[in-house]
Order: sequence, then structure tokens, then C-alpha cells
Amino acid sequence: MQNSILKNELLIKRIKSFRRNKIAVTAGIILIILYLLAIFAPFVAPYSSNQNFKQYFFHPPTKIHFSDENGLSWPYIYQTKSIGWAEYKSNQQRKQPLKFLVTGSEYKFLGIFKSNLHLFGVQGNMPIFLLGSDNYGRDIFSRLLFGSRVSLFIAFVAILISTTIALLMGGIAGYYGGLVDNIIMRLAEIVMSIPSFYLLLALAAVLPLDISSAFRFFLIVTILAFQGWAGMARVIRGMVLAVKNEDYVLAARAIGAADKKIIIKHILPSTSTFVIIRATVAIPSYIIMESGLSFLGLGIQEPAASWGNMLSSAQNITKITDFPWLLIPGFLIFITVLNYNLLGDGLRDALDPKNTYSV
Amino acid sequence: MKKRIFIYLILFMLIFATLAAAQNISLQDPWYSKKEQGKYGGTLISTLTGDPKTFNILIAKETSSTDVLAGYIFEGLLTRNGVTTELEPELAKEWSISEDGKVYTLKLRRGVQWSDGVEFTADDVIFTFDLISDQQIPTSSRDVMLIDAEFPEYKKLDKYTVQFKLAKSFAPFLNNLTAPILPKHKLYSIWQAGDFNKVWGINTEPAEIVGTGPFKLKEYKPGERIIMVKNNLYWRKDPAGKTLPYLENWVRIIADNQETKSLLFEKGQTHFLAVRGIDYKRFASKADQNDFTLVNAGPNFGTDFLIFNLNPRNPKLKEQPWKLEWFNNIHFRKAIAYAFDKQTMISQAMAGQGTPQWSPVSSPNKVYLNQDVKKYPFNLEKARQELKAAKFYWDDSGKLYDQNDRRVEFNILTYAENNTIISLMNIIASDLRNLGMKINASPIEFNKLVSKLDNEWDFDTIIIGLTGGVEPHSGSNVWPSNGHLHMWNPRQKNPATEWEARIDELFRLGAAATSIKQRQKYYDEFQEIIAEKLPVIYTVVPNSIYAVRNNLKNTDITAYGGVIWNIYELYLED
Repeated sequence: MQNSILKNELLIKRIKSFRRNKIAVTAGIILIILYLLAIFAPFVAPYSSNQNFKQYFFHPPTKIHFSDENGLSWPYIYQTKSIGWAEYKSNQQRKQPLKFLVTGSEYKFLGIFKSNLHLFGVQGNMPIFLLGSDNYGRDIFSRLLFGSRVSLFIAFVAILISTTIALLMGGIAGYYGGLVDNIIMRLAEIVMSIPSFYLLLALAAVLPLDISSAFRFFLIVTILAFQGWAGMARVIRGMVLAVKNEDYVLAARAIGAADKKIIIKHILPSTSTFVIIRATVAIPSYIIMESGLSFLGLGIQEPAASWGNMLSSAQNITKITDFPWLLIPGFLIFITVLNYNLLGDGLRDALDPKNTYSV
Repeated sequence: MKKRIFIYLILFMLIFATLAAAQNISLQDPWYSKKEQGKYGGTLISTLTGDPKTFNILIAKETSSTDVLAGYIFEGLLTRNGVTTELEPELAKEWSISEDGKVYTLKLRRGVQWSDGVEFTADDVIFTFDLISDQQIPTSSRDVMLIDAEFPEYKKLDKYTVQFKLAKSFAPFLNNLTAPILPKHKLYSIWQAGDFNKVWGINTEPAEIVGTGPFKLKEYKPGERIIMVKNNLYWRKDPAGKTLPYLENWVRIIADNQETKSLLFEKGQTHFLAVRGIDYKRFASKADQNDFTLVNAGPNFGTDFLIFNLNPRNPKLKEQPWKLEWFNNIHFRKAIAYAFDKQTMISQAMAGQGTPQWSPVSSPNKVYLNQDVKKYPFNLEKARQELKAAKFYWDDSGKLYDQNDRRVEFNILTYAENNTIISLMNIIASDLRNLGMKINASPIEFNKLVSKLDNEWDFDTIIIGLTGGVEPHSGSNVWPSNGHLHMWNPRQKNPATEWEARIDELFRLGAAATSIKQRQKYYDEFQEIIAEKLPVIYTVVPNSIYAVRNNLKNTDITAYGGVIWNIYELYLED
């Protein structure tokens, strides 16, 4: 009882300390918004990720007008017409009003509810490209939202897998020591010495071609995560070694608690600070890895969207100078990675035991 | 001191002797340029995609080597004109073919000199063909010379005449006479010693490499540049009768990346550039202020197409035998052909700079292209009709099934190294999905793709490209049913279908006929069959676009020859 109150107090102090770090809080809020957008992607996006408007490739971001000759008006856009290769001219005669909660392409919300409601859209036959369109005439805004699902969530899965294995392996190795420790640590060293880039190239060649690219990428990341536990397990083993001779552990053992309970209840919680920080710092590295792999053609393949493969389709001087909106995915990767790092920084300060929680 | 004077004396005598020898040879059959009189001097700067692997043109396999040598340092008896694509005399002055099409007699130009001053004669030609027929030398020139597995007989009639005797009438032989001729006086003893395959590697002293071409090698820095200088003994003359080429030096910067090449050109460091469609607009807007001109030379010789796997030996057929049934159905293939939206391919994959292709002969081939083959303009409605004719049907959600209720699903593969071809694949896949098919489209590594095509045979469909030439018989490894590259069903013992049998026959007839008119008739029918039966479906060809500085004169730019096919006539204005 006393214990849990103390614990809560500690937690409250930590949260307070975190909340005083304005930068970290802002970073956290931005990330939450990004994740919400990813979850609600099919609703927020006006189009599905593969819908292509053939005649509107490399269309610049559509201008939304808020006023007309009679002053302020309901937001509307002008229809545009192609007047040359990737050159468009707006037709001032043809207005199309912006609409909210319109019906459009059908999707399954959260994979359960069927719906065809979209947050916004326009009436008429001119599509709205909030952030421009790509070389196939697909809406970049919609693809960014769908792409964020891959880029943001796969990192979570990878971290979850590698952290679970690392906790287990590090905990067992540190607690039992001796032969068990030796075997697990040597195994970790072997796993660490597998060259991951060549492992990836080999995987890309071996995996069957008729599975969807998102699933294929998921497999690749999972396998990488299985490889990624080793470094973390080493650190956790070290921490466990330091903790296992503390009085409270010895007390638990003297009472006769089972090893499993001691490891999970008494030893591993002391590593939680490290694990949380490590995870927040590792997530951006997976996001960057995704863009790198897509850049090399190993990641998510067309027509599926991810920030990495959207960015890799912009690798050309002409595209960068003439169609700069193709670089927006890079900007989003930058924002996400930066915010994760700021958040990680804030968390580390807040969870630091040396931090004096003076309110 | 005395010793040194003695050495100088000997050197002087040697130089004098060679000069004297050179003067004794007088060029009796020169060639005169019909272009305007140019100015002498100047340095042309261009780029090369890769390092040469050897300067021995006979054993060079890769274009990075032959691009340096062929036509610039070494020349053949005949060559193809860069504009008309017809064969023209080069080191030969003229040729004649006997009535029965078996005996080829070539008169050589008299008084042509190698770049070291030695005279070029029939002995050099005979020596070159000795080399080509030598089994110890790994050259790709040999196989194409064989007619029914026999190497043609060749002999020297006199110092300036050579004769070839073929086992049977074989028109494509003339094309083989464009093979580069090598100097006997430099290489004979090396060949006799058995060291020919090692000679003229990339470490060779540049002066050792002797050719008849307009340029000589001066310096090669691996990964950086190749410097070539004018051959003062060249046999082509300008309208005033003075020796060509006009250009004094030619520097070729090695740049493996298109972006680097573009930047070099934009900074004014090179004189011309092959521009990709996607960059067209950007270059067009800069042309005036940066003093260059964009030349659209029309479609190039490349062909990109989709191949159906019609091979009954496909190992995957055990699990999915119905796929071969679909692909063998001509209605199914036609439906897919109607779903090729070539206009969108041109605007989206080639930035508007392309041409639709319908025939297996490359679009710029002025001699053999058949313009009137069956065409399949984009029309999803017609595609649906063809599918209905083959008893396919759609369910309520628009998914396509065959008559045995199997969902239509197949893979399209292409290679990951080329962004344009990946775009083509995505455009095709997107329209096929609109037809209700489930398409798994993935780019894979080029070598992996080739091995699937060549010996694994386990693909469904592949999009890949081939580069064509002018001579249609060079496709004899692709189109006849026993061809190694007969991609939809390679190396057949007996042709699987009647139309494949007819193509085999047409290729035999086309090779035996001697008149171009007669040959055109056979190859026209071959093109009609492929367009009608659709074992492969053609996509679109990018146009060759060149950006050329305005001070480079006398150019005659074509998709076949590029900018520098007539480099001997080009000159630079100040």
C-alpha cells in the first residue's frame, strides 16, 4: 500500500518534470497528431492512395480561394486545364466549391467499418491536390497519409519485437550468470556480427514475389528486429548484474520468490528508464531505414505508398527544381525524426534518477 | 659525349626514314566532305558513361570499350551512314556481289595510312579475318560471320583487292564487313606468339595503339578522362582537299551518372549531351541564354515490351496450369494489348518525349520498318470485349474470373535499375487492375530477371528492352523458334505454333534473298505476324534528344548516329 502511493508520487513528479519541458511536450503533441492522422488516413484523405488522375500528373498544389468578386466567399478552387507537358492553367470561369464530409471511394475504417465518407473533397470533376500530384497523377496529400501508416507503425512493431527479446535474454543472462550467461552473450555476439545490409539484399532476392509489398517489408523489418535485440540485451544484462545483488532482490529471494517473478517484478523494472529512452531514440532510426530501403528499391514498392518510396521518386534535378512539392515526404521524415529525438531527450531528463524533483 | 651524338644521329635517321616512307605513300582514293568548309583547331569535350576495359577492339565486349574505339580509332571496310542508315564504303572504295550472292569482292582505298605512317593494304584485312576466325580469340565478331556453322572463305586477290566466298547466298553478310580492321605490322608477331588476347590492355602506351580512324589515343586516366588527338594522316578530306578532321583534340570525361553529365553540360564544360525526356523542359528554357540548341532526333533504337511466358516447360505450371491457358489465348493477349495506354506512358514515363511502337523492328529503321502492322490503340472497352470473347467474366465488385471461376492474377516483373521501365510497368499494371485483374508488379535485379528469362522460365510476364539495329537478321537469336533469346518459349526443337514456323521460314528467306526489295517483303510479313499474334506487346520508345552547343558546326544529328557519327567533319567556331 505504502509502496504504491510512493510509486504514484514518483510518477506524478516525473510527469510534472516532463511537462515543464515545453519543447518535449510540443514534440509529443506533434507526434500524437501525426499518429492520429495515420490512423484516420482513409477518412482524412480525399482519395485512396492509388487513385490516379491520368491527365493531372505533376499538378502543382491546388490554390484554395476564400474570396471572389463579391468579397468573402465559401472556399472554392478553379478547374485547371493542361496547356503543355506538366503545365496547367486555371480556368477562372469554372469554380468548384470545397465540401466537407463528402462521399467518395469506399474504405474500411480500422479494418472493420465500411464507409465512404471523407473529411473533405470538391464538387465537380476537378480533383483537389492539397500538396500537388506525382508523376502518375496521384494526390500527394492522400499518399502521405497512407504512407505514414507504414513509416510510423512499422517502427513500433520492430521496437516491440527487439525490446521483448532483449529484455528476456538480458534478464536471464544477467540473473543466472555462469554458463547460461556465457551461451546467451556469445549468441548475441554472433547475431551482432551478421552484416545487415547483405542480409537485406539476400532477403530481397529470396522472398516470394506475389506477397504484397507491405507484407514483404514487414517481414524484412521483423527479421531485422530479430537481429537488433543483441546490442540492447548486452546493456540490460549489465544493468541486471548490478541490480541482482541489491538488498531488495536478495530479500525477495530469501522469502522464496520464484526466479521468474524476481526477474519480471523486481529486476527488469529498474531497466525501464533505459528501455523507454532507447525505444524513442530507435524509432526514428527505423523510419530513416525505411526511407533508405525504399530508396534502394528494397522497401515498400509501388503502388503502395511510404514516405521513403515517395521521396525516392524525386531523385532528379528537374523534378526537384520544377516540382518541389515532391520533396514534402522528406520534410515529414525530418519532422518526425526531430520530434522523436526531442521527445526522447525530454523523457531522459524526466526519468533521470539524479534529477531532483523540486516542484 | 660522342656516344650521345651518335644516338641523336641514329634517332634523326630513323625519323627521316619514317618520314620518307610516309611521303612515298600517296592517297589515291580519298573521300571528300560535302559539308561546308570548316575551321581547323579546337578541343571537343564530351562525356563517356564508363571506363574502357580494353583497347583491343576485337575482344572488347562492352560498349564502354567500343564507344571509345569504333569508328574513331579503328574503322571497318564498310560503315553505316548516320543519316540514311545505309551501308557505305569506308576503308573499301567499292564492293560487288556476284549474281548468285555468294562471292563478295571489295576494292580497297589505295594509299590509306595507319596512324604511324605504314600503308594499309589487303594484308591487314586478311590478317583481321585470320584473327576473327581464330578459335583462341574470344570475339563476338566470329559467331555472326558463320553461315551454317561455316566461316566464309577469304583471300587477297592483289594488294588492294580482297574476296569473300560464302557457302550460300546470305545477305546479312554485308553488315559483317563493318568489323574493324587491325594493323598487321603491329600485331602479327604478337598473335603468332599466342599473346593476342593480352595485347592492348588499358595500360598500353597510347602511342602503341595504331588505327586508321580520324583520332589517335593520347592519354587515358582511369576514372577521369580519355584524351584523343587528330590523326594527321587521315584519308578523309575537306572540300578544299585538306586533311580532316578539323578538331585538334577530343577530351572525353568519364561520368557514369546522368545528373553529373547534365551538370557538366550546364556549366559549359562539354559540347553536347543526350537529354532525358524528363529534363527536356528545363533544358528548353535555358537553350537561348546558354547558347545551345535542343535537337529532337526522333525515336531511338531501343524497344521495351511485355513478354508472356508461353513456355510449357515453365516449372510453376504444375501448380498453376491455367496461367498458360490464359496466356495462350489470343483474345487474352489482345485484351492486354488494348489496355496499353501509350499516350499516358509517353506523357508520364517519358515526359512527353516518346513515340508509340507497334512493330518488332526499331522505329528509326528506315529500311525495314513496316508502318502498317496491326495496332491496338488504348481502349478498355475493346479489352473487355476480347475478355468476354475468351469467356472471362466479372463479379459484382468488378473482379475478373476465367470460365473455371479462377481469379485472374499474375505477376509482372521488370528490372529495378531503370526508372522509366518501372514507370511503364506501373502504368500498365494500373490499367490491368482497372480491368479487374490482380497484378503483382515488382522490379527485381537485372541479372535475376535475365536468368528467369533465360533458364528458369518461371515468370508470368516480364517487361524488358532490347536494342535493335538496322539489319533485321541480327534478331535471329530472338525471333526464330530455336533462338536462345526467343523469350516467350526459347530453344524449341520444333516450332510450337504455325505462325512461329512461318517466322522461322521468313528469317531463312530473308537471309538468302539478295535484293533489299525482296528482303523487305519477308521482314514486313514477319512484323505483321508478331503484331497479329502478340507474343510480345510493345510499349513506347523514348525520343533521342540532344543538347548541342551552337559553336559546334556541321552536325547531322540522328537517333542512329547521335551527334558524333561524322566527327571528322565537325568543327568549332570561336
